[in-house]
Amino acid sequence: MKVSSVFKFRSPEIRALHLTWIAFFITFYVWFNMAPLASSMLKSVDWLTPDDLKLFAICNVALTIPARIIVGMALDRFGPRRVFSVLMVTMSIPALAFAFGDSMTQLLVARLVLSSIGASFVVGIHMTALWFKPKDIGFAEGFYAGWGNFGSAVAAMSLPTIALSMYGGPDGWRWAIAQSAIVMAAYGVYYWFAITDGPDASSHRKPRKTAAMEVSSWADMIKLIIWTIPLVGVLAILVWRIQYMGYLSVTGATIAYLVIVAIVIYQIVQILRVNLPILRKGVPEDDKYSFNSVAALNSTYFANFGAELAVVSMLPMFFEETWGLNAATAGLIAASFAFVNLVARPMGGMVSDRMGNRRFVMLCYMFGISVGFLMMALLNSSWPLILAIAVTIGTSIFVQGAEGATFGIIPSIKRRITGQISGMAGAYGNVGAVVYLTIFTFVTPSQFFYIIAAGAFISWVICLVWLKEPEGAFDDEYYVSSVDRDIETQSLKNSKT
Amino acid sequence: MKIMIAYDGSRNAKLALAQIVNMFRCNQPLLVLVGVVENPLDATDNNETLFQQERDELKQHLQEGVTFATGEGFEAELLLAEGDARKMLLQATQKLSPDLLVIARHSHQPDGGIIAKSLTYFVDELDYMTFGSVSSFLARRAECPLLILPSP
Repeated sequence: MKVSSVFKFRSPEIRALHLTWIAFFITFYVWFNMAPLASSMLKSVDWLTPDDLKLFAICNVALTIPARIIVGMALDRFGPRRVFSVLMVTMSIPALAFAFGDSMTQLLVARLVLSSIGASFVVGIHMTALWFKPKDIGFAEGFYAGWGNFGSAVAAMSLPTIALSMYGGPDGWRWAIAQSAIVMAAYGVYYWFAITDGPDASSHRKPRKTAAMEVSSWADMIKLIIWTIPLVGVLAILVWRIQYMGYLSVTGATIAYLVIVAIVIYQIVQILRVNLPILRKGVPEDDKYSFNSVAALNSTYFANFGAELAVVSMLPMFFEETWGLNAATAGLIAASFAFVNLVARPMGGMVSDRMGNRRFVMLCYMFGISVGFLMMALLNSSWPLILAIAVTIGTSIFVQGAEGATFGIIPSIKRRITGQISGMAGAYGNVGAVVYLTIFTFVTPSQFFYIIAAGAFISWVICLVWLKEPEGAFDDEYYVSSVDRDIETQSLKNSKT
Repeated sequence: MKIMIAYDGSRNAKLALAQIVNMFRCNQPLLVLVGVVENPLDATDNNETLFQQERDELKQHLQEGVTFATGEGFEAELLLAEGDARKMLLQATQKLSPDLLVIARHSHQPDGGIIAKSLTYFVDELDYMTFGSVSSFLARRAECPLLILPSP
């Protein structure tokens, strides 16, 4: 598949790709419609404090992880077309509730519910996978992810202008957010009718459902459990933060903690249920894979996508306050961070393909992120603005390229469970965002950048030690691994009976 | 004498095979046709069946190639690999140490309008610069003699 083929609008899969990235783009636009309007909100609503807005930013990425789990189940049952449409239409409700919220509780709850919209990424990836052949899928998914993520940049660029000049007045921001919600609902309805699940709707290919990731050794199972705990456990941080700021009673917090603990325990039980029988039987040598690579990629996505979500949420305010700009200009400049997505993310995947050494590319990118954020930590009002913008763009090229490189390695760890590996890594992006944004409530922007740089550096070390270069294999000594063959014969038997 | 041919069933690969058959007939070499299926870069499990189909197709192509070569009176065998085409070909030469590795260079015929053409040109140029193409990668690293057949 050539880059130029994205212009062949007549071919159905290219149409599907365009329809789907636009859907993803709109969901991201809505997801990040608060950051660029933060200062306008502070001006027009007198009972809001900057601390409240920082809390909203955490809420904005909190429920994405549980939503991903639910959306994953829904995908298996209903297929991506319906899930995407329903997601867009239903999520316009909390967006509207946020737009016209006039109490702290309403704003907080609306933002929390709205954070589920981040699960849209998974839906679109599945849709893309239904339409494209294995040869083209890497390019198609990179294109989809890059252009979709670009939605947060367009939100930062356009929303302040819409709020200030189109609507104007103290309630301008409300109408700007409401408008994005209405567009999303309308597109959700359109999407339902405009697309099918794959080239022929009858062949809705289902991924094999398993409750938890399979591992190859007892040590790997322990690692998997350790790496699973933060996926939902990270929400405890948010509960603690909300209670600490006085918006939640001790009883409410306790209930929330118990729910989180229950979910974590349930996930661990699932892991044990899936893996104990497998490990007792013993995993054949040719089916083994190392969980360390998965852990390393979780850490990279934590440090790059997590950082991106966190930085996109605070950058407009940072520029506004540091250089004394107005909201529209600050939004425009802050958008330069996310703007690079168009090229940087697909480029990360491409570089990873081309260089022939994916591990090395990943390491370079992670190191680049550390350096980039170190530079951003040094930014202050004495820097010329143009230089600050250059540093911001340079950093984001590395951040988004690393996202692309992460998704370039994921498929080659263990092909049979790629879906689960990418789901886990993707969720770690949100874990990163929650952790970083929580830290942000305690520190100044430049300390915050130092912390992100440290996070990226730690991830670099983890990759250096744990990440292995994906290996190919020859047919004569390796057909499909023996377990794959067992599964195939089983399914053949099942289909005959 | 053992000659290894990178073979994917494309028109170029078929032409290359025919050319090798003509060139080396008097040496009576053993021909090894190597095909590589690239792992899909998919972040879901959806493409597993499609991937298997692609794999079977390639195997079929290789078998056709072998049949053609044996029909011409050569000894021939096939080798199928999964993974990165460049690396797997390199590994195959290390594994079987042939006397000659033959690659048909892919032809890039840009199609479409001016935008598509210039985009394609740009991306291909990046490919050559970064040793993206199989032939340039192997030209640098192969440890056996290498014959690159330009596409007609």
